[in-house]
Amino acid sequence: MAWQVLRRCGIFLLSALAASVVVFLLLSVLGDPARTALGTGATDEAVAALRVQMGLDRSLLVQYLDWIGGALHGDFGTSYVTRAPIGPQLADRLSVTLWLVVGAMVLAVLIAVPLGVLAAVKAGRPAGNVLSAVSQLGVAVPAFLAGLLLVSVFAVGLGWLPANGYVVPADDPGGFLAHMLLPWVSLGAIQGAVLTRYVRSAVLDELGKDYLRTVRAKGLTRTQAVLRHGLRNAAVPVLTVLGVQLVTILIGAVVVEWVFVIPGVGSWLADSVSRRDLLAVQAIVLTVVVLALLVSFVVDVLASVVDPRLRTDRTA
Amino acid sequence: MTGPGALTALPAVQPRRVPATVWIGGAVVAVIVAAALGSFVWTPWSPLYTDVAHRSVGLFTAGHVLGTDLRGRDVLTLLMVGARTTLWVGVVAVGIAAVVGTPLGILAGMARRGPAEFLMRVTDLWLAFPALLMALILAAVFGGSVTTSMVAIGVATVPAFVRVVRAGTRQVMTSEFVAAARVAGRSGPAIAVRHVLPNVAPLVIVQASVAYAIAILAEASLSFLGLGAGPTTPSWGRMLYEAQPALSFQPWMMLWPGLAVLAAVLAFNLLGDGLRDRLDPRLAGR
Amino acid sequence: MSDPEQHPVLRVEDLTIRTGDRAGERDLVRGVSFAVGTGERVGIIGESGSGKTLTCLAAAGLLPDGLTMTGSIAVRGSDRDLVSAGERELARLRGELVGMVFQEPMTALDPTMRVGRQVAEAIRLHARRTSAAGGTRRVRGADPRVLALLAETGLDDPDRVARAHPHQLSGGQRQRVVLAMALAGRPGLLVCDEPTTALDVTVQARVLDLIDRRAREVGAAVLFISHDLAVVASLCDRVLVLYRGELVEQGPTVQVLTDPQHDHTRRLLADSDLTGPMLDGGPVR
Repeated sequence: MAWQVLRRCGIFLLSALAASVVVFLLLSVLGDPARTALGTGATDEAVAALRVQMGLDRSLLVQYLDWIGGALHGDFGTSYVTRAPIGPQLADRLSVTLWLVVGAMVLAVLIAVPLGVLAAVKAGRPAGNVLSAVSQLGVAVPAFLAGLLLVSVFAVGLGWLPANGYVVPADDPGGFLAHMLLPWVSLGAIQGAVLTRYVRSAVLDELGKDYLRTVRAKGLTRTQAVLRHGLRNAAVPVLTVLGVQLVTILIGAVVVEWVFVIPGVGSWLADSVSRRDLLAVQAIVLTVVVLALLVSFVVDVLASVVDPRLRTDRTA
Repeated sequence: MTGPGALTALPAVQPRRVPATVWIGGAVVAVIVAAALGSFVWTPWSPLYTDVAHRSVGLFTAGHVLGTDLRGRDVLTLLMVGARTTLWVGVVAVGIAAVVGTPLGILAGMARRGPAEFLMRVTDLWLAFPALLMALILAAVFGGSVTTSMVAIGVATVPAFVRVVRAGTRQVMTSEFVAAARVAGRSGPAIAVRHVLPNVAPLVIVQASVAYAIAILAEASLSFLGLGAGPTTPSWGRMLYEAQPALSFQPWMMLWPGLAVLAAVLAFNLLGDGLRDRLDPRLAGR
Repeated sequence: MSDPEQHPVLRVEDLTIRTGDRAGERDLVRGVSFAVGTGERVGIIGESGSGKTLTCLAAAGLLPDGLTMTGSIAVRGSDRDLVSAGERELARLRGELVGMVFQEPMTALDPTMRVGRQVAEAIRLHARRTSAAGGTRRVRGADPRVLALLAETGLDDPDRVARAHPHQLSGGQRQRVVLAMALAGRPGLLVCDEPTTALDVTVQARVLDLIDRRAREVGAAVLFISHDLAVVASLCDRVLVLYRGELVEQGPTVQVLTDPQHDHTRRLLADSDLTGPMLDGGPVR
């Protein structure tokens, strides 16, 4: 077990390293930060001067090591567009985004687990069919459309909740909740609908398994058997989906933060892209990708905690 | 096998018919395609014409069936021309993904363990760059445009095809006809083209349908952020972007482009689900 | 041996099990009646689909979903008729009055839980009923009662087995664990559904011996399903023959196997390879 975790940890670190190289190549090599920063009207001399100032005349390896070395210390350099240091802003905005993502994920799980289990136990009845139709619809609704719809109904129409903005939870917990509720629902309800289908199918798979019959033969009722044994077994495939969804929500946060004007990493990424602020984009993308890799690492470890069969060396 | 197992496993006899989901999804897709193609021949108004006298009017006003947007352009016209963008982005993105992903998937499925493992690791890493993120990166480097969106979404969708095709390939490789072909001395590439490709084709078609839905979503999101289609390219996402400032006083401006995106994504998802049931019953219900 | 009719552990009367699907209703078991006496070993033989597994599942209170039954099933220790009892009542007598061992040991255990905890769960369910003090709630593999139970089923290293997950054990070991759980509540009846079919030939004989010995030690009667007549001959006092859902013949093992009355029994005998010593010796006790 310990060896397995260590091995997965190694894979995670290697992937993160590889991802950082890819991000660097995409943005610093494919792109031209100096020319982009100065705009198309800049003279070649000005661009060349800025290249030297930005250190872009050095070898790629040196540039990469310089960037990644700083990044490991939280120093992502200074934006040539906004003239502001990137690292501190990244930290601030990341905490906002994490509130959004974690809240949405919790909501999705709270929706999906009870509904999915119910839909599985009541499979084949009308309730199950309605649930599956609703979740099919949920898959098709983009998070930003849901956000726009919620704003127009609950903020503009009914005036119950603020249409946008963000309040720091420590300053005003009530205001924080009021501002986060609609974003959480736009991201979480849809992913909840998607997740419901997976929970249902995973539980349905388990319902037919032999071990549940053995457990009932010991003296558990059908419900007890599902709750004590079935759910844990169904958790393995669901966990994998959860990992994928967490990443989907993380990316979806870009658009949802934009809709609700939340000062998180996502809206900053959108802003930075439209400002062509390559250095900031590079820092944000690296953060998002490493977070995504971290999620799949944690999911892998959790899955092997739940299912002992995964602890022995898994080969493709 | 005796007893209840055999009884409950008794398959309901299902005629191989086309599921309703394929009809519904196909019908909606057909409407969108018809609207897009029709827009080349005829649109109610010119997509560039701004009816300054009738800005942001409602249904059936001054000859505008679905009303006009904030600048006075005809909404129905924009929807029809926007369908072109939506479909075109999907075709190119899915095309890139399928053309690159299918051979890679077959390769990963037929290769020896070491190279296959390496390819799958690369795929895992690739998956950490979803369509929207990839599109944002390329938009930062090259500037936002429909072309950037298509290429980025296509590149980001490759690993989904690699995974599906690899799984299918591995299954085909265990079959008897492949064993027979090997005994007969056929080379790897020959087996890949003659035996593997035809057998994984249904998987590719299903995946293409699902990927199409994702591509539409990504393009709409990107244009909604103002980083996709430019001001002169009508696109459903762009319409939503332009309607957003009116959210507080004219929220219904979002309605038509929003519904269009929803219908298109739903249609391709239904189509994918239905085709999966039809083409590969083993995967049904997943 | 007691007369089954006087002190039955299990009495099944006029049991009919039917399935209702789109094609209409169909009887899978029709009008089956029999009894099993204290400590008696009764074998049920019949071809695939003859209804023998369904009859036994019904007797263990585990009728699969979608099936309905009529008639009556009485188990000693409960005044409820199993045919009309609800899931809660059935759960209370499962394990307590009737234990069950299944055909496929590879999938019979919860793959995510340590074997010790699964056995402990069976012990705890039983203890909770007989005495208020049910012992510790979360029982780790080191629980002495679990270890004792595993040792009694002939597992060499009970401590290691208790700490193992099912996938780390062989088929024979898993079947022993299932048997240990089935007998944890010291039920009066042990139902075995082809318990050795999925095992290696070398392991089969040892598991059969074990079932025989443990049932005797616990004082449980055995209802034993098999399509292997040699196994039935070696273990059972009495045999029931099911054919297409009906009980066509029953009687002492030696009598049925040497002087079959029904055509179907003759066919079963002809199809099987009953070599001399098994039959000549009668039930090996």
